[in-house]
Amino acid sequence: MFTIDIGYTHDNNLKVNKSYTTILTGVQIYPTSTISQENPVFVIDYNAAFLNANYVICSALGRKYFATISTDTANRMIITCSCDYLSSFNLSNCPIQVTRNGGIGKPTKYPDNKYPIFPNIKDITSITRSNSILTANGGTYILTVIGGGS
Amino acid sequence: MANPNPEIWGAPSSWVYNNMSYGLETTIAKLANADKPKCKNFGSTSYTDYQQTLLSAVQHNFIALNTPLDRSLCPCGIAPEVSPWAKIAIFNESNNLSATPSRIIEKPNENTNWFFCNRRGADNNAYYYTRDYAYSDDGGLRYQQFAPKARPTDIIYNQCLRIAPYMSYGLKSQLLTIQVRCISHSAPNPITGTFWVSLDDWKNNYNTYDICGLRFFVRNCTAINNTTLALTYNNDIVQTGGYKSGNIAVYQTIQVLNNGENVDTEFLTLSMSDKADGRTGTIFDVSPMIYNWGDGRNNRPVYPCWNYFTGQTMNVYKPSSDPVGYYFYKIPYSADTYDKMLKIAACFGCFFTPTNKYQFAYDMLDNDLYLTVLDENGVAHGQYTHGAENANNNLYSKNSIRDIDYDPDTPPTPVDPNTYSDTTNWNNVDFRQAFTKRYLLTGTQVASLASELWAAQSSKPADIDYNNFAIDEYLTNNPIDTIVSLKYFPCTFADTAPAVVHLGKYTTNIAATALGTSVRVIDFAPIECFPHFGDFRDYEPHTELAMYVPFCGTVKIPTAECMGNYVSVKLAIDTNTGAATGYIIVSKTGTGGICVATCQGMAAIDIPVSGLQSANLANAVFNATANWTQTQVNNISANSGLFRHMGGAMGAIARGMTNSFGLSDVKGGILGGPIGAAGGLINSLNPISALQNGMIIDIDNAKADYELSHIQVPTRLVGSASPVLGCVIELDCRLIIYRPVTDETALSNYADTVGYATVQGGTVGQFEGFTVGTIDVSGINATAKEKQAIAAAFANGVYL
Repeated sequence: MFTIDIGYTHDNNLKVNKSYTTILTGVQIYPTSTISQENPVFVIDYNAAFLNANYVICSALGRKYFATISTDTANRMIITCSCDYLSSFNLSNCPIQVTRNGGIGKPTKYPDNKYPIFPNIKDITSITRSNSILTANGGTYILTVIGGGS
Repeated sequence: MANPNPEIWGAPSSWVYNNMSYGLETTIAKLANADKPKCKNFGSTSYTDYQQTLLSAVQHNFIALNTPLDRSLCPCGIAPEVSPWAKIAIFNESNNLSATPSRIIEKPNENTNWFFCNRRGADNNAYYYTRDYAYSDDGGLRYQQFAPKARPTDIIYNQCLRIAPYMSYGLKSQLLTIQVRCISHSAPNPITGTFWVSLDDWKNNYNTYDICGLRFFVRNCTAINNTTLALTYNNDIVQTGGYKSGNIAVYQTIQVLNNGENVDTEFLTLSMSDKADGRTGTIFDVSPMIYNWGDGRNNRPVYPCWNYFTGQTMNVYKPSSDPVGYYFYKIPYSADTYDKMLKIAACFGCFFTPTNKYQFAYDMLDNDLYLTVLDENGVAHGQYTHGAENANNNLYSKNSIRDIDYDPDTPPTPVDPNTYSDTTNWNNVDFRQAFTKRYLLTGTQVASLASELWAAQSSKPADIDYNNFAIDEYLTNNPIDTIVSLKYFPCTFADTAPAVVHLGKYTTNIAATALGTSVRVIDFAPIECFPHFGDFRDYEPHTELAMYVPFCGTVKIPTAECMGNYVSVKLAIDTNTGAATGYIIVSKTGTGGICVATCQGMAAIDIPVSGLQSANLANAVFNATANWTQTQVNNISANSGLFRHMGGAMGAIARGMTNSFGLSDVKGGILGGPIGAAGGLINSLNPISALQNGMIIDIDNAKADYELSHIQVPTRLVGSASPVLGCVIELDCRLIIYRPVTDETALSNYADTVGYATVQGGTVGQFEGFTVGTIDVSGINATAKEKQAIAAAFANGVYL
């Protein structure tokens, strides 16, 4: 029979390697016939300290779980878990091709079709260059006549 | 062409650098050139160097048969489609075959990758042995032997030890010379009637001779690229460790028979001739290439001959003294044959020359110096450069052919044959009209031009007929006809050469300025197209650019090409036509640049010049009168009674009009008779029809009368009317920038909830914050469903 650690986390569910606070380690669970690795249900003795728990670490299953606590009439607590895939495994060495990131670029030169740009508004400005050869007044006439003659 | 010999070169991972191995991988070699050859397939550290041969290594079980050789020998592949050496063995018939192998059999259809030279031992006693020399690219002869066949215990008779690859020498310290063996076309005995000349000699002086032999020899040169010493033929100079003689051997894939027992494997070895070495001046000729001793005598193999020249005229000669053993193939001179010789030489991957020249006055660009062109895989296909073209050859900058970066597992990027330029070449095409004179006039001078026309008209001497005077003076009858065009340009011209305006032969009093070049180019200073946002918003479709060019209008220009660069405008004005062409130029630095767009317009305002043309007037009067006359003639047949009263009127009008313009009275004479006669013929018409006909004729006659009496006095209009004779126009260039507007209020949580677009690879641990990406979870110990869930989470975004 194995034990579990019960705690809580305030991190976003999508956070990889969440930080959590342990309420109690080595909590004994009541045996059940089958324990799912991905969505286990643990039965433990009632402990009011666990009422606000939302995170369970089960070393025997090698996983961390999001936990939902409920109680039954037999003064026991039922912890319904779902695997926290993002924190159960060491992903730091996994290769990744990042297409969006909050810290890179701000923004980058890669086209961003989600960037909030008004679709129908444009600023217009201009830069000029002049050449004094061109003049509105004081231009020149060019007369072309037949050649030859004197 | 893919790697032609992967089985020989092997994978780069097998190219283990080991300073205790043999070949060029000696300690000394390593010290001399640490990153140089990685030849690991010759010999073993357990035996002395005379055993450092491929065969001995195999025999001592240090190298397995079929072990791939690395590229350190020479990466130059000789393409079989060009070079006979790609397939033909040159057999060493005097080789000591008491040791294995006793016989070799050529394996066809293989590229020959390397060619080798013969090396003499220092004692010059026909015995050859190896030494351990430092390697240097251009330092002369520094080599190790690469003998594939050896007697493992007897250095004296190890003839193969003298073989060294040419490419272990510096590329610029050797020169391949091409010679051909000339023979009289009718010579009965090619043995006594032949002589060797350079390929160019054959072409220039002996091209009435056939050739029956081809040979190449390698001249060891003081570095070709030596800037202080002339390239010299250095063949006989004793180099440290022995001579490199001029012989050539080629590398073959052969089948080895061990004393009659088939080893039953392919084995890489060398085959070559052991004819006299180059040191004595008797240069080895690769005669088997030319004549075939293929009778099988003394186990001589049968060699193919002149494969490369198949299809070309050949003469076969069998001398009576040995009708069985020798077949001489004689080839007559042709430009094609000459070119093929060059291509064969080009397959050896080095400098070569068809001359006997060996001094090139420090010049690698000498016109007689040729250089192989290798493809991206280091294979020669017979292409070459010579003379100044050598500078563009990839090998030109290499000290050694090994410097070519070639990895059989990662073929190099194909060589781009193009030469790129980031500057448009501007050529001033100045069409000066030879048949006209052109003047720059001020507004005041233009005004005086009109009075000068009157003055020109009045300059006729009283005793000369006006028409004769006008034709002689103006080539026409009116001085205004000498004006081809008068245009106003809203710009100034720097021309200063004074010129008095001439109208034909008439000299006016207008002191104008002669116009120089026809096309004037106006440059507008570059505009730095600075990225305003510094991100994707600076490019299309978000930011768009357009350039307004005076006279030409506004043209859209590509943002991607301009952003971060300089955009300038060059405006070319053709003073002949007034046409303006705007060139929009993009450059990286503000100078030079490439023209990315052009636009056209009209810079000149055409000034109308008008005048009366007396000749045209007379012509118009004549035509109108003739028309009137014809109308009357036509109406005669209409049988109208109206003719009677019209005849006299028309005659009077005609007379009056013609007289009023001073013309002859010929029309009155013409009309009088016919019209009068016509009136008498009209007598039997239907009254209604006659009335209708009479009305129509009245209209025709009225029209003719009108045309005659309203002849428009013709005027001469010089130039076409411009769309405008004045306008409001901007004379500056203007880069117009259309920028997007960002909704700043929506950006507060953008980084944490959406993330900025990027493309970056790495591992998860290298990133932080909100991240979207494709993760490879194959390395973690999770179930398939969990991996799928993780990948899905990363695809939608997670926080790291």
